[in-house]
Amino acid sequence: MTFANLKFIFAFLPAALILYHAVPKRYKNIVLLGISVLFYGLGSWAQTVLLAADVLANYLLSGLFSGRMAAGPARRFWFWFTIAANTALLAWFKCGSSIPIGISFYSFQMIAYQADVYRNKIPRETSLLRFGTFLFFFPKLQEGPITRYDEMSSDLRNPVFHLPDLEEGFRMFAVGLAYKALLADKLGGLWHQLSVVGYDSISTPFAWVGMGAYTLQLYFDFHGYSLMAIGIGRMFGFILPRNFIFPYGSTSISEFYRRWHATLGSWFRDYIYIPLGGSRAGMGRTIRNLLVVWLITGLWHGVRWNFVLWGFSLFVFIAAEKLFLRKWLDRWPMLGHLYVLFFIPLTWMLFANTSFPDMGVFFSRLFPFASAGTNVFPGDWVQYTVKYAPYLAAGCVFLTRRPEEFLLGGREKYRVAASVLLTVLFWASVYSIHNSANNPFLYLQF
Amino acid sequence: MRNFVKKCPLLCMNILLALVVGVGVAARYLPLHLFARGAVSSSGPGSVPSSFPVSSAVSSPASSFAPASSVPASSAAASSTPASSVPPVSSAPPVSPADSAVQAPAGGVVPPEYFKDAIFVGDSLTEGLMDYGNLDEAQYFCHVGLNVYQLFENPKKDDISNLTLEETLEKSKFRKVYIHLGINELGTADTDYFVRHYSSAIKKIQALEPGALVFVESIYPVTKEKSDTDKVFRNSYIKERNDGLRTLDNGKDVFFLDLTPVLGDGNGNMRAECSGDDVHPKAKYYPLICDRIREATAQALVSAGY
Repeated sequence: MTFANLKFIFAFLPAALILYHAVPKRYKNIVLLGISVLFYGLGSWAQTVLLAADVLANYLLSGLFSGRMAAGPARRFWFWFTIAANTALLAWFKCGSSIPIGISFYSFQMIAYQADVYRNKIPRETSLLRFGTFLFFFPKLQEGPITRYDEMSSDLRNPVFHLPDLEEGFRMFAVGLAYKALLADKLGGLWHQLSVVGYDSISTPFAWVGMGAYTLQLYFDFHGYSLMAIGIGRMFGFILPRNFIFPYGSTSISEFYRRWHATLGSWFRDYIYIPLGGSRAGMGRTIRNLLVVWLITGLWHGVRWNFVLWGFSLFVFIAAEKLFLRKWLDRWPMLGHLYVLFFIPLTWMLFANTSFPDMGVFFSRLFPFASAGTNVFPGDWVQYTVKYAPYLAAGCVFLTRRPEEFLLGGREKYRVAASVLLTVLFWASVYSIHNSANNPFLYLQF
Repeated sequence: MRNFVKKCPLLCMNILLALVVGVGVAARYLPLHLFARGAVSSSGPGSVPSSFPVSSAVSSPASSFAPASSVPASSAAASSTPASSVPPVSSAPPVSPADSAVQAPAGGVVPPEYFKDAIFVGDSLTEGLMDYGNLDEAQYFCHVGLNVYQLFENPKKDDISNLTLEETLEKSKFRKVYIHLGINELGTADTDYFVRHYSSAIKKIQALEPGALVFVESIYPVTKEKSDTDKVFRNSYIKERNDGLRTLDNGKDVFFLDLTPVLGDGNGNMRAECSGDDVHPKAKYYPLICDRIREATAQALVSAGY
């Protein structure tokens, strides 16, 4: 079950909200856990059992290195054992053919929790119910945001509900839904057309327009999902962390990856980069630490060579920025903006194409110095750009801050207008979903 | 409650709209369900339809903009051809062997000039032929998602000229009409129903273009991966449809062209490298398809004695 699904929007979600808000406080967690287990179970009961076992194992293991009993070498041993076990589980499934939905996200949340307990940043959660509810929490179960335990723990202990949460949550959900159904899914059609024609035969303008369409599609698909997740969480009274902070407004690639999938970036910063020494032990160590972070980031997205190459290419940019590029980008922000808008889409092409030959052909169409393609229809890009123009234009507009903040009701003065527009967009999204087949989130098998 | 409305106006508005939509949807479908039992749209090739089946099952992704047509159960008379469009029997002279426009070629393939008075009619696959093939002399009538029921019965317009097929055929004289349809109809009705409607459409074309030769192009197979995993797009169903279309070949003025050798793997599937989406051939294969069309046309003419 996914969020951009009419059965979810009009049946599952309303029923879940009514049930959760109707029961007394002391039953809320068990009800929320039940709802989340059902949500995940409707996808796969085997995967649900796996996660339940994972939750129980981690709950028990955390007891072995926290509290008064645990001390000295035993404590260290059990902590590293736990980390190794979680990593091994994740690696095992990622290297296999069938990756349980959400495992990359919940494994990272599990590791973060264990590390925070070990470092005494947070106390160990003694309630298996609260711990399980946190991990199963269905809004963030499938694709994040990667949430730290202390971001939800006080609301799990003491759920307090404010009516505006329902309104704000619905607003975010509606914006996310519109991003997915009206932008991402539509723009996906343009990108898809490139592979239907075959990369050999696309004209150079078509390759560039297609790359732009993919860039926009990926952003609105994932950002849309994240907004829906955060919105639903909010409707239940929980505040999940922001995942996307207008990344395409960045002036460096380092900045871009603090603003794109922010919860993943901060996870790597807090649990890999900083523990390795961060940027405090000289430039050589810093570069090494960056390399480790970006190679693992690539592998986290997929255990394939193109993802490793993607991660490595980002490392090259970020290392270059740390070494010398940054001062130029800071001095001339416009250069920084153009640099990000030019290179990030190119790096997405390493991400989008799992086959190296395909990647090579695509780049040769973008930069046609060595080849003119095979059986290219020169006007191919015109009809598609015209057909998709409204979506491409809307996509570019919503890369910037103001339009989204307007829809989310940031300015009191414009709230009514924003609400009317959002209502129209919500029903347009519903109509669009009704008409076309669902398009699975690109990140779903991570 | 008042507090709820005051604090959550957007949510309230949409809950109200959802209730209105829900009532509307229920009102639309409930009575029809009671009075039109059995008038459900068919889903497999073997089932017999009782309502007019219109579903664009396959199209290039751009066509997701077009809402899928809903099936009003009231048009249950779809199995009979619409009375208004049955043309009178044509009194035009049949094609003669001396007719230079259709004469069999010397070299085993018809020359490019052969297509000067030819029109290719079809769906997104014909659009691909138009954009990436090399038969530029011909004209094309294509509509993404087109199926045989939309040629005359429920006519769609050409994506570029915005004319229906009937208007297009009335406007110019064509001596050869190539038709490539069948993939979009796979999820609907059975082979018999499909072939009957295809046959009616051919008769209509012949009435509008007396003396023209009609070439029925075989439906392309899908890749093995698609065929093995999809419920509708299976090569066994495609083969069944092609065998049905083959019966339309009368050796005189309606010919069946088997295009499978170009893209096939010898086992009834499209070769995997030929397609990026398991259904549409990649652009670079269309010139090969055109060559095969020229070759198969020549073979058809020769065996017809032209």
